[in-house]
Amino acid sequence: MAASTLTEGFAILLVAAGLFFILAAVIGILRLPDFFTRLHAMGKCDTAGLSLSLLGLALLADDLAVTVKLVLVLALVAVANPTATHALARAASRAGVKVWRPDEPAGPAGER
Amino acid sequence: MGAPRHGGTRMRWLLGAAAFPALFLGLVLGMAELPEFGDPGSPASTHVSPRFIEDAAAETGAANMVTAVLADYRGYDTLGETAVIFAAGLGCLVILAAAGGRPNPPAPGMSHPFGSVILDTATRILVPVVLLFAVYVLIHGHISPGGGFQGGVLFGSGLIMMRLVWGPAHEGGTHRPDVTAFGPSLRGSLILACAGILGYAGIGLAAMAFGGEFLNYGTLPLGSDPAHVRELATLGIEAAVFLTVAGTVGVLFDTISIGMRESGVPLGSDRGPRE
Repeated sequence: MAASTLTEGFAILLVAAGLFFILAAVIGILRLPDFFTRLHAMGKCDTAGLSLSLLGLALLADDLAVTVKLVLVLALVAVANPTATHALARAASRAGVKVWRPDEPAGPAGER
Repeated sequence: MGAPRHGGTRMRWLLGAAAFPALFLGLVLGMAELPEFGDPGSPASTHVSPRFIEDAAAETGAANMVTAVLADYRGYDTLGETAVIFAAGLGCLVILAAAGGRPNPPAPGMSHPFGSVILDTATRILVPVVLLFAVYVLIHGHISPGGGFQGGVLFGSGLIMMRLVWGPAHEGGTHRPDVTAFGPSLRGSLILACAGILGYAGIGLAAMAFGGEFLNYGTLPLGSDPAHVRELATLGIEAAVFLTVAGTVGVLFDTISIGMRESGVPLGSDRGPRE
């Protein structure tokens, strides 16, 4: 492994931070009450988590070509993931999915 | 379908009832004679596979053996597969779109543009990358996983993205005057698919015209190195498959969205906020 201990430590820190965000997204999807709030959790935390993990892996890669590819994937995720979230929210809003309000009686999670 | 109703139908039904078990029994008995699945001593493992593994790269110029087998050794088989995909697209067109009588109407429904500023901007960034990557996958199929089918599907997904965000590519332009129509219309997709399958068969016929067998590219006048000639011809085949698959994906999306509109599925309805 050509990478120094400092680079390695930094990469591990980045991947761990990424995993934390993905965990937050999972908890958000399981716990939040309706489609829009779940999308809110998933879109932001997924993008952040995946980006940080990929950045960490790019630091660890031995081959420059692999690093470049990972950075390209990172750029693609950074554009595609928020856009997909936006498209989903837009479609749901157009289809008339009800927005959850805290003062309304809580239905079972997942009810639209 | 269903129970027999009169004499002729009953006769045919009885014939079918007799023929089906006979055919089934014959196939099962034939299966019993085949070598064990994955048997290393079977003829396929002792004769066919080593031959391809040893000679494929030198004979066809394709480092990816899957490409060598699919597009060269078994090119006839792949021609059939491409024709099946083309036929699926045509079937969809006939059943879903032609039933409405209008092949390319100004459609609301799913083919209504779904765009917003965000989607428009992201599509402008993503679609060129997707289309370029599709061509990369097509060309790189020689030496890595990829090829005409995969590249064609990628290209088709780029076409679908444009259709979803900007609406269908009519001959007369999109619903939004500020966005120019880009990408082939339903008719254009159909022409692409036809050109692909014609090109595939055409390369096969060209090989015949130069004195070889159908789809035996070795005789084509593309250079002196036989492996290089086969490599170029294989790329031509892959490009033809690419065109067929990309065109068919476009045809499928258009016909399904038109069919949904005809049957009143309320996708992309006008309820809710609009820009």
